[in-house]
Amino acid sequence: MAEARTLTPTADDRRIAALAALAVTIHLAEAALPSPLPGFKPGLANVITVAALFLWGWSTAAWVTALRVLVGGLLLGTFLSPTFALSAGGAVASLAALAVAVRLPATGPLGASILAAMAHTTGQFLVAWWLFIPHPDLPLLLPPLLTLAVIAGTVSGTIATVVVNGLRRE
Amino acid sequence: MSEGLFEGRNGSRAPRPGDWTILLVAGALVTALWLGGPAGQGSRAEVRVEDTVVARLDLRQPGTYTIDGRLGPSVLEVADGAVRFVDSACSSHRCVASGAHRHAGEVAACLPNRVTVAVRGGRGGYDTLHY
Repeated sequence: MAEARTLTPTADDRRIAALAALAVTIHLAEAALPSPLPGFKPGLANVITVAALFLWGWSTAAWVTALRVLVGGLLLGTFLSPTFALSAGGAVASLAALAVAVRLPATGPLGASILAAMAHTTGQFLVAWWLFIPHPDLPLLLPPLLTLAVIAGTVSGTIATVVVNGLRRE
Repeated sequence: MSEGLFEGRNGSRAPRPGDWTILLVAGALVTALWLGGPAGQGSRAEVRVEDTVVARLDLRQPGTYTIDGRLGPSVLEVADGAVRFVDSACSSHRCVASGAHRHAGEVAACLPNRVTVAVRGGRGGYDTLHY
């Protein structure tokens, strides 16, 4: 008989699972809320990603985001749909921005969050451009979308700052 | 959930200089995008019947033009750098009701008569927003 083997989740695994669960919950709640503008979401789940980045590092943040996009997509029924491609494109771009942001001098969750939000919008925009509608007038949407991204990034960055400071406990 | 689960490794204090710098730069970038954005005054109008361009009108030169569409004539007027339908061989006259068009990217159409007028030149603006 083959030797029975047990997979023991590490503390990291448990933490990532808990954070991803929080992020998925926010993701779902946001999807259920009526959006002030079609195609726009405040992206509050990013609070969890940014907090994870500053408290536990980039790979935790990347895991949490990947799980959120995957599980969120499965639960909302958008998995592998165009919406999912947009979501994934935004997530990859914002994780790339966060990898840069965490190395910037004297920069905390607020700046990182703003960069991530703008990268997210830009990433989504590029995916939309390449995959769906390469219409020459599409860039006209960038000013309003990026304005909303900066506002949303500032709001979620402020929340992330509070969360990080609250969890850090001197 | 154990107490230690969310114990952080490193963290940061509330907003630091880098954060404000990023916020300022982001704000400046967005402002620049708005200022450099839409929408320019059009310089000419492209008139099509079905898919064929039948006339290109200079918006700086006032005048009245008659275009032969599928049902009959459509009358276009260029004045004050804008183009509009003044009459058309259709029943609804929605094209006339759509008024004068001066911004690049704007389109007026008399669908029954298969006549469309698109303002070109300059930077394009919004035509319509949809999701």
